[in-house]
Amino acid sequence: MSNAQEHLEKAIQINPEFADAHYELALILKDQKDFENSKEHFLKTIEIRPEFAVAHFNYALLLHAMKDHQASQEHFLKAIDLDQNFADAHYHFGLLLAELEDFEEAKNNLEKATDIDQNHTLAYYHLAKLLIDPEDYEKAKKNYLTAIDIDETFADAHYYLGKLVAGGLKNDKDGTLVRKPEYDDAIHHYKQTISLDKKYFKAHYNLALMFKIQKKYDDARKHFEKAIEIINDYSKAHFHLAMLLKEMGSVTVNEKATA
Amino acid sequence: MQTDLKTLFLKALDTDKNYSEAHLQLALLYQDEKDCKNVEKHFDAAIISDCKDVKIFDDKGEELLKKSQFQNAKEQFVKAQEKKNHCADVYYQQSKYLLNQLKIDEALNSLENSIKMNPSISEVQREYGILLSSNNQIDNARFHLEKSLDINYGDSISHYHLGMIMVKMKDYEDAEQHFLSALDIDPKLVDCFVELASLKLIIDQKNEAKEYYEKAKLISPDLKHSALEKIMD
Repeated sequence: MSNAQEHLEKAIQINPEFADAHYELALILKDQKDFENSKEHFLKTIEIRPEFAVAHFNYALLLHAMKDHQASQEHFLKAIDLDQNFADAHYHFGLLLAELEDFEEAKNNLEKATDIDQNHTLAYYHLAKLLIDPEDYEKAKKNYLTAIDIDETFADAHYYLGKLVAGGLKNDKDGTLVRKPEYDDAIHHYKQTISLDKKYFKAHYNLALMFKIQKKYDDARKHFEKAIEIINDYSKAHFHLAMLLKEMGSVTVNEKATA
Repeated sequence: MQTDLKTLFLKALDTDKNYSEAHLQLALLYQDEKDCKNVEKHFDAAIISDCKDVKIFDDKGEELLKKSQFQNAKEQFVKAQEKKNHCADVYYQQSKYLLNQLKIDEALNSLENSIKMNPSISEVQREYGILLSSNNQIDNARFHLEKSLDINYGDSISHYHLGMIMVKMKDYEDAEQHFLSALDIDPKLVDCFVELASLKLIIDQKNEAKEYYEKAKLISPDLKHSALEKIMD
């Protein structure tokens, strides 16, 4: 038991209605993964101070960790109700809704988080990840770019932006579904990902696929091999490396035939 | 090189036993090595994996459709179709292997399954038509050869075989049209000149028969066709 915990418990003994002590103790117990006891102190905090928005928010996070999604939603909503500008509450509520597959509401809450806190990198990033409709292609791209603009060391944002532009599936101006992959941009973002995290095997793999499309076979091979070196049982990398070798082999044969 | 490829494909299957693309590539590699047991094993595994995936994607798509998530549902259906297309390719490759093994009925079955999975591959429709024709199922053969041409009108082989069917059906006018179309696309199709010459012989146009046979002989001087040789004297 930590010193702080001891003192908080003593303070509660002296004054059982000391809301802040219950709240702080609930946070410590939550960190210790003592969820049941943490829950008890959160409930007490809210009972004493029902208007305590941050307590509702942290209690909602605890309930989410305890997989009580229904109650978690209620307390996120209560926190937002008490503080309309609570960016983190909107953000975490958005993540919970996405987990519950209520994507539209999830997007709304993540967007709200970015409206309130224009430097909320994670909200931009998660919002971009939910914008998978081709109609939202540009919006998704913009959100990834904003996340990167705020934090240029955000490897995941680079990686997923790379995947988005490599796919290039979007609606044209007249609403027609088109596929316009932006390979050079994708390569740039995969390279950025790798420069931030050399062991990002998926970035190596996807970069290799881009090089293969551009017929830069040696580069493609290098990155497939790198992906396999990091994760030896990377099924798709083994398969595509084999297909690449097959293609490289046939290129050699063709070249010989032409010569 | 071959060993490297095989090792890599097998490695791909180590962690994902249902990797149908890897199964197909292995089946093709074992085919080169004449290892029939493994060829059959991997063709079957590829088909089973693809069918399983098709069902998973379709079910997921249906579920999303019920939730009115149309875009996400569409994405699942597109993935299901991609798997079906791959499965169609596996069946087609399997049919070629079975034909080499002279297992005609099984090859027919594979081609039929390939068409069920993806009816828009001209080559498969053509091969099915040719095989049905050699099995004397003329009407069905004609249907599939015509399908092949609907998809790719520039396929000289389909025109040629459709011409042959028309000869069997005694529709000489249509037969001639198909032979001529085949020659438009591939002017060096010797067999087509021979068939045209034979057709002209049937309808008693000896001079034209002679002309076509001469053209065939220009391309292939060693050609000997007993009935047509007689009119050359």
